[in-house]
Amino acid sequence: MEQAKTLIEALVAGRYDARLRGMRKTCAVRLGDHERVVVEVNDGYFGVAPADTTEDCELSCSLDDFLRIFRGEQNLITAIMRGRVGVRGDLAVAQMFQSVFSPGDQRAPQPTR
Amino acid sequence: MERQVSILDGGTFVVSDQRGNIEHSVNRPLGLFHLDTRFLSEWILTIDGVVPAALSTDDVQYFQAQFFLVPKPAAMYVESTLSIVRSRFVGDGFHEDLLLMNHGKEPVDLEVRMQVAADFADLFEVKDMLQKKGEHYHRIEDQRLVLGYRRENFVRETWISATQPAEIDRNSLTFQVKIPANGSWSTCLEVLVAIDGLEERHSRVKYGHGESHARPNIGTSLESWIDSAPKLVTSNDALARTYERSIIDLAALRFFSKLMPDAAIPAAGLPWFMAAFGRDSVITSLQALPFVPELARATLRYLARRQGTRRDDFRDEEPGKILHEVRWGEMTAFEERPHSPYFGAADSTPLFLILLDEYERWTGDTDLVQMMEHSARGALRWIDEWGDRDGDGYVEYDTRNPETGLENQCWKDSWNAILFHDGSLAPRPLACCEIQGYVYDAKMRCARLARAFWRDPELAMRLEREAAELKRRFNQDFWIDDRGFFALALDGSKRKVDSLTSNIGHLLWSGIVDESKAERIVEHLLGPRLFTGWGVRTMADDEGGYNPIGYHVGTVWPHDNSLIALGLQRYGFRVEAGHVAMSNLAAAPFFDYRLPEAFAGYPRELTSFPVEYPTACSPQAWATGAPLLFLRALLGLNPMGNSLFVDPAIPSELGELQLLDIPGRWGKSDAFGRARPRSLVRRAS
Repeated sequence: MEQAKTLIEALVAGRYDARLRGMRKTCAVRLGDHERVVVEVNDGYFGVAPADTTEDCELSCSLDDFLRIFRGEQNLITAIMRGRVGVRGDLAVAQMFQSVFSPGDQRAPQPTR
Repeated sequence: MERQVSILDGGTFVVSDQRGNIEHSVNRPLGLFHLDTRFLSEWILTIDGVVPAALSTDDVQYFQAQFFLVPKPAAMYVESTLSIVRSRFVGDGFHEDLLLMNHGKEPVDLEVRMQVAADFADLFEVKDMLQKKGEHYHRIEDQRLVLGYRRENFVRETWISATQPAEIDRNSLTFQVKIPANGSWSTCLEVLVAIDGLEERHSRVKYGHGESHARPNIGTSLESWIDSAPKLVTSNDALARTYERSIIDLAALRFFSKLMPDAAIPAAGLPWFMAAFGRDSVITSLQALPFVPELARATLRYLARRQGTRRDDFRDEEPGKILHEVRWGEMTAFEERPHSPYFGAADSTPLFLILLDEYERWTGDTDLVQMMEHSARGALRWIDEWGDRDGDGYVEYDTRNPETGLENQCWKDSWNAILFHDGSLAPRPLACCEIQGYVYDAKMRCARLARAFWRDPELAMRLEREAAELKRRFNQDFWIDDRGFFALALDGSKRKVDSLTSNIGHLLWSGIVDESKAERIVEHLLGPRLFTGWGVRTMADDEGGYNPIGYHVGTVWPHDNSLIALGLQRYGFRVEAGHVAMSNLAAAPFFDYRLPEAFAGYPRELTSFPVEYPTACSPQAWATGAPLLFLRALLGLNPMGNSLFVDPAIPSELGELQLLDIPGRWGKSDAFGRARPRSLVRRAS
């Protein structure tokens, strides 16, 4: 589980999404019964919040599923729709964090031509 | 065609027959739908084993319907002493009050049975007649029937209960009823969308017994919505009713997405398109800007939030692209369909930019324009770097998902919409003409935004330069000189797709047409090949692919006509704009003052009424918005700085027209117009 926490901390470090300017939201990720990491976005910047922070939404899933999302093998939204990722609270907030948990989103490949 | 009764609340809607029954079949996709899943596929009332007959039906409010029934008459005269009233309210399922009245002098014993089933079909499965892959189950608990469906962790449940004691089995709730002479019996029935997969369980339906006052999920109530819309004053009863219907339907089609639950965007249409659509939401918001500008703000925020960020071939996603469609059903969840979201539209991105500028011009909401700068720049980059796939200066499309992606990614998105004059299919990639017009308009508008709000005059100059060059080249490359109109598209080999279609009207709206060519375009739009008498048909009747009941190859689409009317007005053809508007509005009374998505393209002289298109959505958002845009065109409404400019050209049959309390950056303003002799209607400069 430490692996996941380390991974999430690395993912959010220095991340910025201009579309989320002016917003302050938190999303908890629960992996199993004991591991819980709270990620926040504040005016577009992502960071890890203290563990006791009240979250706007909570995602819960197995480590396997989390890693599949991280590797871009599973879309976060369809994972929620299928019930592989549980969501409690505001789904819209979960979607804001998709770009953090699925870093493939940030890759901007060259156009086809 | 047998009438269907539809009521809706956000993303939940019920489509039944006029008796209130749900008995689905391939030809009649009836049911209770929620988040793109059918939670109830059978709901059939019988009295002593017989289905009652309808006397009258009323969809009283958009979320409420009443059905007045009698036991099925054996002869042509109804002499029943029993009457049945079903009152239904939709919201997180539905509540139904069932009332039986015995008008006879003797008591009656009846078996009242409600037959039920839930197939949990995804809307795509309903449309394409596909089989389910999971397992259905049921259980009976606490006087409640639970119908469920499971596929791996994907679980959906419908809970059905009644306030009167019932015998419950997996297919029905049965009541043994004794009604005294001149007495009555009633029960409440609740059908709850209990587990929809995205939220914690719903524990009750939205409207309980006796609740008939509309409660919006969020935002403005129906009464406030109607009160805040401009008041139309006209002696033309049909126009007044059509306007009122449009305003109410726009309220009904407000959709609260799971991905942005704090604002309502217009869903595309009932029953197939109760979902967020990029193109439809943008165009509807544009049509409604002078009336309910808040729709545009919500649409822009929603689409920006879900703007493409990466290349994903399954979803046709690309960085900066604006989405096409979002779905929540099983096939999307299991990635058997790409709608999570799907980005297969080449026009939604420039349309998004057009809406952003138009929204600021009407409302003066500069905060939103500044907040959207990043998204707008991303959309502009998409146009140049991804939309123009081969570097020829035109945006073209081809799906990267040949299995489940859309073949056509323009507004005419059916597979056979883009045809040559001889009726043959145009091979992709396709650069459709109206998309080039939208790109031209988007760049011109974003140049204004860049200069005025983004403090980037260099970008403004570049965009203006690119737009001018696009206009110059387009007027050469798409123009078919010997036929006098613009090609529908350039195909994969850069051949002109040479059929005459309504798309040329969108070009007028965009402003990309050289002044010298406008008159010939107008002659075609109002000529007998395209103009039916009820409006402009999508494809001219002498084209090889023409079919008056073909979805995009001959039908009349009111939203298409509304953009054409605005284009005619833009180029100064104001009498013609009025003609297009009035011909469409004349069709509205035949559809209960609710213009449908599309109707058949037969010539008006052939029938004295517009012929229905069999599977048209109604209400449909951009058809609902069409009368609003017609009004804007007739009154010549345009923001100029902080004032509303009014330059009316009212057709003689309307006499006088007043639109009062038009909201905008000026506060509220009024517009007046009255018909003048045609010779006095001047062309705009």
